[in-house]
Amino acid sequence: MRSVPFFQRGEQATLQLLDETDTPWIAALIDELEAAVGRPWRELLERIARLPVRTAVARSAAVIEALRRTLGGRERGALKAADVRRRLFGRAALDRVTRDHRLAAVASDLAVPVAEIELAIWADLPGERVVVMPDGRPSELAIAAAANLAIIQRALLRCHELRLELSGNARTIVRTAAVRGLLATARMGGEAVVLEISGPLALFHGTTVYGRALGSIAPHLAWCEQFVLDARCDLGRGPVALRIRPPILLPPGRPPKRYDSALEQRFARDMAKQAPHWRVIREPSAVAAGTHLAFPDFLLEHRDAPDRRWWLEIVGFWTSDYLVHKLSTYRDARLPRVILCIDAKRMIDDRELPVDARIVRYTKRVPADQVVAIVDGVRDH
Amino acid sequence: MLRELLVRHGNHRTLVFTRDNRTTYEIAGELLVCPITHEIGRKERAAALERFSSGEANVLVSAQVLDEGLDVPEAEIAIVVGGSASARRHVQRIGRVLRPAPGKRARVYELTVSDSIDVDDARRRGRAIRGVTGEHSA
Repeated sequence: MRSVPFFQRGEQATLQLLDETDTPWIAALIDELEAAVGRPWRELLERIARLPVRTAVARSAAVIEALRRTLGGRERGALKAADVRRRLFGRAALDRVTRDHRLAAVASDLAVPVAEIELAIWADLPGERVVVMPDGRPSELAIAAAANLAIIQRALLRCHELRLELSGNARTIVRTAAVRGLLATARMGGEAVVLEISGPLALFHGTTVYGRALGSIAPHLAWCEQFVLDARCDLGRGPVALRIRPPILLPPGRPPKRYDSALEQRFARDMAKQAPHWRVIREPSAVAAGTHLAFPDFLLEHRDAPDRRWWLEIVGFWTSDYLVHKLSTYRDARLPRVILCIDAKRMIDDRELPVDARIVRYTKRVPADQVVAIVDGVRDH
Repeated sequence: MLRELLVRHGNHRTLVFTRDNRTTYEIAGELLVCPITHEIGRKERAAALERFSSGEANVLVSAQVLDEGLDVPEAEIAIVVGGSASARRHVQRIGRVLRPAPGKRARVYELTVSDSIDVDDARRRGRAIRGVTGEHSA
């Protein structure tokens, strides 16, 4: 696992994020990159490894990761490596004749010389992709910001729990947490929204996938006017408390989308088609229950009887306790008509579902017909 | 040596474990067999496992991805090329070919450089798993 650059004092850890003072050595790395345009990334990385960079290895690694994320890389040649492998690989070619014959057959199919086939086999691997600068030389500060994002995301992969205090534009983060299916609860804490999220180290399985999902909230921190991120982590030297707060250099996040996911978009479309007598309202207001907040994804309102309303939330990662807590929040908010749609593949404990819940399971598509059955009263549970 | 073993077990499905991705690609490119690494896309890895399960491919070569979380009960032979893996990873690798099936007999080979420290390591690992496999050639 990639290391995280940090200082530690007692049980308090501080990430070694990058700022303006780091631009000289970042510029040196970008100089190397510029000189390597057209060459494979593997060669560039070998050259960078020989550079005398005066910073922690984990920080320069984060900058290299940021460069790769920002610039990507281009597959060499016109052939698609994955397609070449699909055609070429099969039973082991245990002698030269068999190997040559198979290479020649694939080359003939694709109407190219055999040498081109050999060159194309691994051309899509990260190290073999060609260094490109499609938009010219990147700025040192933009790369430093992208490296900070990479460092924060690495730290989040190693956290047990996370507490975010958000002021201004909190909804973007809360929605991202919901859309990515994180185990999160939101509440008001004075003027700020407080979001508490389980970290990957608190789970029994699926930790890497969950950790990546958790990392997806980090780019949106740039949209918040103020935030304080407190996390309990293990960054490699035992448990520590980590705090991140502005001012920090972060890349500008993308603006929020109308639909947070294709899943929601499909569900809205399916509902409109299957149940035109229900109005599908996207992202209704947050629901307050005491100090807790719930953010349903949809409000379904009967067109002829607007007092017939159902709130629907699509849940990603879940445990039985998490669903119980969510239902109790809605109950406290005096919203009895709630449907939770849960991802059948993202269960992270093995206990039973709460018995008193209206729950619809989904895999790739929320089954609108089951939701219609519930809201039309055909199916009560 | 690897080629010899694959010829000897030409009718069996074989997993080849390597020390690193570079070796994985070298072997895969030379023998024209599917590599399984984290750099190969998920769909392609799934297709490779499918071809291995169906018998369309008889050899898979991997540095790491096969170590955890994947089940390949069809595998009958494991060949470990360069044995620097931890004891835990070694047991997981061997476990890949020890999934019980009617009439199944699994074999594990470990290839090491003569007169190197790897030979002792391989013997030690062999002793550790002999109770499970019944035999171990190093």
